[in-house]
Amino acid sequence: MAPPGNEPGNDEDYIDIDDTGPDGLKGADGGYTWEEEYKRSWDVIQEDASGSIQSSVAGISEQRKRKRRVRDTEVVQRGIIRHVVVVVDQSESMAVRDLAPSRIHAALVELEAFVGEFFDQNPISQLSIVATKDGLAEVLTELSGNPMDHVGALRDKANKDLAGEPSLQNALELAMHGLRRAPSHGLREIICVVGSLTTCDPGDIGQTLQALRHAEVRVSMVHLAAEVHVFRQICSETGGQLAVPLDADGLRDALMAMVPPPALSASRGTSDMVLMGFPVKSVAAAVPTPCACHHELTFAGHVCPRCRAKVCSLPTDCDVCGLPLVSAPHLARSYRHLFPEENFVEIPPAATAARACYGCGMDWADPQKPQPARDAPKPAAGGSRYQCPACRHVFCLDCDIFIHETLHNCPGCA
Amino acid sequence: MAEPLESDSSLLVVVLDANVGAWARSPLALDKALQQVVIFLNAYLALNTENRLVVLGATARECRFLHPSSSRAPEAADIQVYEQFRAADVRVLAGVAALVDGAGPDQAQAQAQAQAPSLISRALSMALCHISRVNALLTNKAWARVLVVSAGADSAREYISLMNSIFAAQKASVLIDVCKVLGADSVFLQQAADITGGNYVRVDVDAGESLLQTLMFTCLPDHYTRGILNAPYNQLIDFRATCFCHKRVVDIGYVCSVCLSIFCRTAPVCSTCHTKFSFRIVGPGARDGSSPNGTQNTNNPQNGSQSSTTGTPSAAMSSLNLG
Repeated sequence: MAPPGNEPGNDEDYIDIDDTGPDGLKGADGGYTWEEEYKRSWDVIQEDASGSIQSSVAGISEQRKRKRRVRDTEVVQRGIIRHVVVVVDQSESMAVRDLAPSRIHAALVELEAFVGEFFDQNPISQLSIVATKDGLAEVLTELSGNPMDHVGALRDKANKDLAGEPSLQNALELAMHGLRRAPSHGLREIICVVGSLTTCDPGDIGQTLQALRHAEVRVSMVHLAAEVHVFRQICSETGGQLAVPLDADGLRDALMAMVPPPALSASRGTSDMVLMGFPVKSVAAAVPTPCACHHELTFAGHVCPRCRAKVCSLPTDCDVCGLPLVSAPHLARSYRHLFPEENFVEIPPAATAARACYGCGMDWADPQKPQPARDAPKPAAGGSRYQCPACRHVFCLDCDIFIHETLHNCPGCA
Repeated sequence: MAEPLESDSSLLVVVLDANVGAWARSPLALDKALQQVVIFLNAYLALNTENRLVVLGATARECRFLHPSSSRAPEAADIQVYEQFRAADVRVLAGVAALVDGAGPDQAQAQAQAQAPSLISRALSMALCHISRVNALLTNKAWARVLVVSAGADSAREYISLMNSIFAAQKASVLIDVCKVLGADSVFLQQAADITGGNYVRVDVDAGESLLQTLMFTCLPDHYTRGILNAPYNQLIDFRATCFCHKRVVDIGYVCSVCLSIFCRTAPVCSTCHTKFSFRIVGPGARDGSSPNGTQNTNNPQNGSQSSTTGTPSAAMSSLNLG
């Protein structure tokens, strides 16, 4: 990172990296791309007429929010029922401290967030975790639909013991073995979080690649150091993505990009009817009975309609007869991926007569006016309006983002 | 209260079902009910000076913010009344009156609207937008909850948007309390209360139960107090699904792996998205075989895997009828 005092023109004096690519690595202001965030951030901030920088700061934060705003709304067939194996690199290269406090720590924290978000958006999908170190691979958690299993495994202190080199081939073979029992109507995916530039494999990884393609497994990777040819090749040939995040935020974005169910290709395999059970929530009994999942005495629970075993939470597979147990809301929660909400159109403030955002009911310029609050800071954005193309109601940026990221239905159209 | 949370102020969003048609058939008149609701709102405001209140009115046609509204409250201040109470009372009463008047004097139209249920899912969506915006602006977040005073029936059309709202509320840890004043139990709102951890109470006005008393006892306590109170127990909440083919409630159903439509028996083709199924049922212990009577959509022999990639959402939307 450039020292703050340096002019952009003096870059050659202290940076001697070969950047002779087609575009070089130069960013917009002549500095290196990765410096941009820091380099000129103080130039952007301009004082307004009253000498305050608040409007300028608000503008920047609005800009950042807007970046996340536009998303894919095409109606495509998506793989709602997913079977995902997460491969975590536990080699010594994960001890590098370029992500604070270390790569493994940052990766585990972000993976924990990923697991929570994954099951929130894919309630009838399953996940498994595989770790690789010392040239070996081991299963941390089997395929299961219970987020707590995976979060527990990720929090395990033993995960922070790093050793040797990773073995990508062993990890992929093991993951594939786990996915073999996954039904063919579901989507099979492997997501690797790797920090090592090398892999210590027992055989030809090309054969593994063939096997992966044959089994229709999609491999995506997040590499914490750099893009490696063989990793890129595996990802592109299996239809996955390779991301190389620059920082912790980039790592989170890369993982979160894999949360929504991916679109399916037209040539893909089969569709099935899946047998599922819809258990009734049993009321508190007079005496507690043991649940089939944890063998603990509980009063309430959900009763499997086939074998009458009691499980604590949904969705899950019945521990006795293996029937997938879901509730109708879980299925309903997945519908939103099939019918995504339209992106709102940005319109100039003058184009609407509405005095307040339709969603939150607050005035554009001064959200405090209808609801005075002593501790509320000044509004973040007074400027832009966003209009739903279907119902023509107008929303503020905060509501726009909330509607598309969390709520998934437009209040005007509901 | 022993140990307060980091912030013990609350944000309460009340969704008032002001559907004239529904209230007209009720033993409890709308204006009487409104008086009781207003007393409850004042009690809530009196609990903590930092408590925030938002009131939304919903009819079959529209839904709008009643209490913090940009329109100015009437000037005639009454020095006998706490200003916060007066502002809330006047706005809610005037707002509901405006909503009811807006329904139109046209008798035929009123009749038509009497049948249509209120836009509860729209009101819930707006409430959640408001909560998310307010909490984004605040440094110390208020505990947010929603109270739905419902008089109408469920509308199957609202199912998906209602479910979206419920899960958004669950994610934001917003409780949804439901006070059902009239009519039959609402399955959707029961699920809303159960999933978000709120209370569902039904006021049986005919049997002499008081709306105000119910509100005070079940919907007034804040997040902290609820932990030490015994909430009214919801007996049995039906999370079973209704099959799309015969509208039967099913225990064990067959789910299309593409569009998640639910069927009570096997079929060669999904009637919602026209996906052709392979001739096997997935799932442990499932019986192999196809439908004995391939009744539906067998006239679509060309709909192979190609058409399944562009499954028709409109058809799916129209036939979604769960719960």
